[in-house]
This record gives sequence, C-alpha cells and structure tokens, in this order.
Amino acid sequence: MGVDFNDDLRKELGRCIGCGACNIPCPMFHIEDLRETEGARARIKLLSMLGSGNMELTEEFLSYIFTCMNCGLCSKVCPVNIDVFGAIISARSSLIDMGYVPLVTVDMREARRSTGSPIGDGLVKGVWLPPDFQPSPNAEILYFAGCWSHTVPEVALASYKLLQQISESVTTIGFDEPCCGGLIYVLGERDNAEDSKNTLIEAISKLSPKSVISGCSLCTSVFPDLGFTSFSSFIEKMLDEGKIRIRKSLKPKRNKIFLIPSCKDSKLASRILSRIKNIELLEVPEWVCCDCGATLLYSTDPDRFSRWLEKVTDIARDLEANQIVVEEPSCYSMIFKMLGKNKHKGAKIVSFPHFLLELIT
Amino acid sequence: MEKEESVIKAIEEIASQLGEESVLVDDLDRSAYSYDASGMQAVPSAVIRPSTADDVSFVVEVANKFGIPITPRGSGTSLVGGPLPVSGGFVVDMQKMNGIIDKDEENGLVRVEAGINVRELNEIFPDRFMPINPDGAGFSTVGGLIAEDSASPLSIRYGTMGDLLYGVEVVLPNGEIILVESPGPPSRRSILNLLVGSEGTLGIFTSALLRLPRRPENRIAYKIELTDISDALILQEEIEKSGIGVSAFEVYHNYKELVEGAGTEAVAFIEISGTQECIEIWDSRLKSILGNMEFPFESMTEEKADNIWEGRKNLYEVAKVREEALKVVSLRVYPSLVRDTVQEADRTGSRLKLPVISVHNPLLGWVIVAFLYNPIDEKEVERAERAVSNVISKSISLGGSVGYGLGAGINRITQDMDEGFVSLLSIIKETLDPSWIMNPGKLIER
Repeated sequence: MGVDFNDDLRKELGRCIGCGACNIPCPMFHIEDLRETEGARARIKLLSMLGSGNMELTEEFLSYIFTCMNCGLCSKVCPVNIDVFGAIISARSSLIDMGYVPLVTVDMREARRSTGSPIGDGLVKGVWLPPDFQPSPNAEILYFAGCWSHTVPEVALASYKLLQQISESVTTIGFDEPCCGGLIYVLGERDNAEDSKNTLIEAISKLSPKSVISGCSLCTSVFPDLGFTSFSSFIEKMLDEGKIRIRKSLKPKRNKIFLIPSCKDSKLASRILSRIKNIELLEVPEWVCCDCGATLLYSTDPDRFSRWLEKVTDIARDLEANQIVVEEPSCYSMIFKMLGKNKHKGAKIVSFPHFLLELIT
Repeated sequence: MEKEESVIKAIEEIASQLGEESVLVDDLDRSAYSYDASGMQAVPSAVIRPSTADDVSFVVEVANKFGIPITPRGSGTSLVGGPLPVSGGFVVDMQKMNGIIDKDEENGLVRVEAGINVRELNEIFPDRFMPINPDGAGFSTVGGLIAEDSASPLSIRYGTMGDLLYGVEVVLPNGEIILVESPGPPSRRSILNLLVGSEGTLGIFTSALLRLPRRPENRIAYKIELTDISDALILQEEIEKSGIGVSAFEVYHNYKELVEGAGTEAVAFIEISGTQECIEIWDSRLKSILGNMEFPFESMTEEKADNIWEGRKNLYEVAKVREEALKVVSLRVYPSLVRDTVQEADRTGSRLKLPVISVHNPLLGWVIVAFLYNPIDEKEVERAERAVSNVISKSISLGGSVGYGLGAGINRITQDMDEGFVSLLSIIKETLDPSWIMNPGKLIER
C-alpha cells in the first residue's frame, strides 16, 4: 500500500537528524528494553521512509504507528524543534483520511457512537453524584471530570470535594457530561474530535460557569482553546494564594512518595507535594508519566501497559517507596483495574486528589 | 526479501541460544536499525540484542561460521554511519548491556558495560562527570565513543575518549573474549591505542574501565562576536600567549547570518573552568585581551554555559530556525589551515547552492562542516552528499585528516587515510578477522 503525505508533513519528518534525543524520555523505548523500534525516533524515521516510498504500509505498520503511550514527551526535547508527537498525530490523521483506519480507531468510533465516550466499556457517568443532582448555572467553578474520572467515582468525588473547599459555588455537568475529544484527536480522528469538543462547549455554555477546572490534562493540552484549567495547576494557584492550606504532615512510615505525574507537566504535582512537611519525594525517571493518552495503550495492548506498570513499580520498590501517588485520574483508574486496592510491592497506590484531600482537610 | 539459507541458519542458531526475543527479523525492526544520525541508511538481515559478553562471543562465532558480516551498534547517534551495516548481515545492538560493574570512588574509576550511555555515566559519582558528550543529549554509549574515539568541545582539556579509557573487554572477530587492561594505569605502550578509534572493525567492546574527571569548581563561558574568521586565530594566539587555560573554544562561522539573517561573520564560545581564584585571574586576562581587540562579548552564567556546550544548540539552532536538515563532516587540520578549510566549505556551499555552517576549534584544528538542505528535495539531498565529499577531498589536499572526534564512517575509507596506517591495519585485520566479517565497509577496505 502506498501513502501520500503532504509536503509539510514529509518535510517535518525528513528534518529529523536522527540524534535519538526523543528516545530518552520515550516510555515505549524503556518498556521494551531500549529496543530502537519502539522509541519515538523510529516512529519518525519509519514514517519518513513510508512517506518517501521506502517502506510498505502493512497492517502491522499501521497498528505500530497508532500504538504508543501518547505522552508527548518526545516533542519537548527535539534539538531541531520537530513537534515529534504532533507529526505522529498528523501522520495518523493522514492515514485515516487515506482510508487506512486501524482497528483501534474502528472500535473507538463504535464506542463513541453507542456510549458517547470513546472508552466505551459500559461507562456510566456521574455515579459519584447524588441521584437527584442538577447542575447549577453561573457557578464560580465547573468541574469537568473527564471520561476516565467517572470510572473511579471516589477520585472524581475527592476532586469535587477539594474544589468545594475552595469555593461554595461548584458545579459539574453531571450524568451526561460529554467527552472532550482529546483521546480521539491523538488517534488522528480530527473531525470527530472537533465534533466532541463542540458538543462539550455547547453543554458548558448553557451553564455559563466563571471557570472550568478539568480533571483530565489531555483535554486542556490538546484543546487549549477550551480555556480549561487543569486540576493540578488550579490547586497550585489556590495554594499560592492561600485559599487552601496543607494542614497535615506525613507520618515517617508513609512519607516516601513516588509520584507518577501527568505527562503534560511533570513538575507541577511535585511542586505541590513538595510543600508537605516531612515528605520525601523520590526521584522518578523522566520517562515515567501517565495520563489519558496512555489509556489507548491500555485498551489496545494491555500486556504492554502492564509491562510499563511492572517497570514503574519495580523502580518504586527499589527506591523503597511506601506510597505511589498517581496524579491523573485516568492513570489511577487503569492501575487500579490492574492491581486492585491492595499494597503493591510494599507501596500503597493512591490518587492525587485523594492524597491531597486527606492532607488539606 | 528472500534470506539466504546461511543467514536463516545463523539466525536459528543464535535464537536458540539467546532466545527468540533477542533476535529481531521483521521489517519494522530491521528498518528501525537501518539509520543513525548520518542521514544514510543500510538495512540489516537481522538485529541481535545480546545481554552478556558470552552472548556477543556466541553471535560472533556463529557469524564467522557462516561468513555473515556483523556491525556493532550503541544508541545510533553516529554522524558518519558507524553503526550502519553497509555490507548487510547482522546489527548487534549493545544497549541492553548497560550496567555498572564496579567503581572505585577514590580514583574516579568505573567499570561499565559498553551499552551504558553518557547520561548514566554522569550519575555514577556526584563530583565527577563524563566530558565527552558528542550528541549533546548524553545518549551516546561507551562502546560507540571508544570505537570512534569521540571528542567534544571540552577535548582541549580532557582529550578524546581514548584518554579516559583505562581498559577494555573486547570480543575478537573469532569470538574470543579478551581483557586489555594493565594492573595499573595504561601507558602509551598499550594495545588499547589500537582498539580506540578502530570503528568496530577489530572487535566488539563489551565493557570498559574509565576514569572520569572531577567536575570543575567554577566555570565562566564567553560569547564573542568576530568580524572575520582570522579573528579567531588571532584570539587563539593571544590566549595561548597569556597562559589562560581554556577548557573549550569553538567558533561558529556563518552562524548569525543563517540564524538572524545578518550580523558578524563568526561567533566564538570560550569556556574557562577551575578554582575560583584561578578563573578570576584568567577572566581578567581574557577580558583585557577582548577589550584590546575590541571584540564585543558577553560572559555567561554556569547554566547558560551548560546549554551551549552540552546542548550543542548552536549548530542545531540553525537547522531549527531554518527548518532544514543537516549533513555533517568532521575534519582535523593544522591550525594554520583552519581558515582555508572553512573558506573551502563556504565556496562549496555557494557553488552547490547550499547554506553552510562551520564549527571549528582553533586550538585543536577540529572543523565540523554542516550543510543545510531540504530533505524532500531529492536534487538537494544529492547536492548535500556531493558537498560533503567535496569538502573532504579539498581538505585532504590542503593537509587535513578525516574523522577526528566523530569517526570516519562510511564512504570515507582507505583513500582518505595515510598509507602506513592502512597497510598496518590491513595486516592486523587479516590476522584477526580473515573473513572480514567485523563491520566491513568502515575505516579500511580489503
């Protein structure tokens, strides 16, 4: 099968100098024991070969291009400023436009059509809300939970309660909260992603909140035009302004914290946690991060996600962590589904909103 | 592609010993190991991923039995095609062998597996560091650095990779594992000097004993605007005369014009490092030289110095700003010929209508020439390749040598090396590797 990428994409792919800097933070590269094929550099180089007719597009190639952690860390390190992740998304989008649609996209389209959310799997939204909940218009804060937060109701509820400590006027869209479209955007479904986003904008504009706080950092980063603030950056701002305070300190046996941050800003949550008395924040390799983008790997290649989780928890164990704090609800949800509630390798796994809520109240 | 029967048999033997997961044969994997940072390409028949020196030895024995070429590879950061299997055969990916074997903090010695990279070396001792960081990002592996005898901007002070090397374990082309290491520090009599810079033609390095230098107490970096390439040479002479111990000195020619559209012909970056007392004296001497010569300059903080030297951002900055690709060649000439070499690169660039940037180190006579080209314009790609060949032959006719600091790599062999070296190395090669399976197509030709 031949492909015809546009000149802009071909040039962007061709500009890669092959230095491999993007492999260094690439989680896939580390999951697979530094195998070149799995790193970000290979994805760019192989796409470039595909675009110039030096490689065949096979079913295997197609699935390869659509399978990664979708963290975007590769784009932050390129010395010649190639937006590596952006180029991968553009290539995915072009392939879909040319009719080369991978199975993961087909499944996601179907899930979105039948449930309103690409994650499907019988997702029921808003179970953490009172059954008679009604959204309030003109609220100070609207909490947008994001699809995956609904799969771990206690995390959504903890986030909501934290926001209620900041303002008396907090609401949420409720049981029919639309998907933001971020996940299908990174999968190359630009038009469908735009549709999702517009449906969400419509739902929010009906409620006219003063600000929207998003429980999902993928939505805020993929669609900055939504004007959402990520949950963590809002919490940091409120701590800075003294609107909330961390009152409690950590007990010595619970203070060695291994943070799995969001991939969008890996320093943000650690800045927040470093304010806690007695905390010993363990140094985490730069390729350790996780957010909604990783859910694609979780859904399509659970074995590989499981290998990532094994590696990450091995590092936490080697560092003698007693708590693993997971910033993103989507990531917490996947880990929770895989490992359950029990301690894993000597560490308790907790969600960031939960962890903070306990220390703030 | 139909694989030869011998290749299939060899793959089966290796897979049965190392495990299926250590032998990659599908198209995606083979293509992923077909490039490095040189812009060139060669696809292997298979990729082998050993975990121990015994694994490497087994792979070499099997390859020898079937006469299949093998090319060792670290992280694939070579700018000259060092890890590309130009004669086909197997690529041996050394990255899984990335452990620290032992360390001696008192003497700054560390024994590491060959697949460890510069970033990981930098984390071993709190007060010592790895001064050879050619790719800037710290992704290059020890094995590759030894094979190419890599240099860095800090080579004025710390030398090249060979100067940090105290011993090496190597798998010879017959599969024998040997340790080349004296009981004490090595002397120049050591056979190590033969292996350093042998570009994978004499064996595969599996581990190395290195001595890492102490991190300097303080550093000051200077950015100096020069109106002419000759200014750099005058500046170098003045610095040498005044006894300033410069730890790095690089001049970027055509930099401002390419990045900002106009400006002075060259920009120089100098670094001095040492104790506070020492650099205060050097700083005042250097500032007085720069003042007398009326060169505009600024001195930079430690953090910015890091950006310049470790990031090599200035060379990449041009590619970044102009959104073009780079084709690079590394040369070493006598300091008196630096100017002619840089001018030759300029002439080649203007004849072939390609923007060119030269980075040179006046003290070492090290010149890196980079041509910028549009990667999707086939004619321009071809012109960039021609430009590189042209600069090499012109530089050799002027009195330069190829491959300092980065290795010579593909297409730059035999005819570009001195006769004595080629004939001696050929005899050694014939003895050690009579089937010429070890990285053929690099450094010397049969």
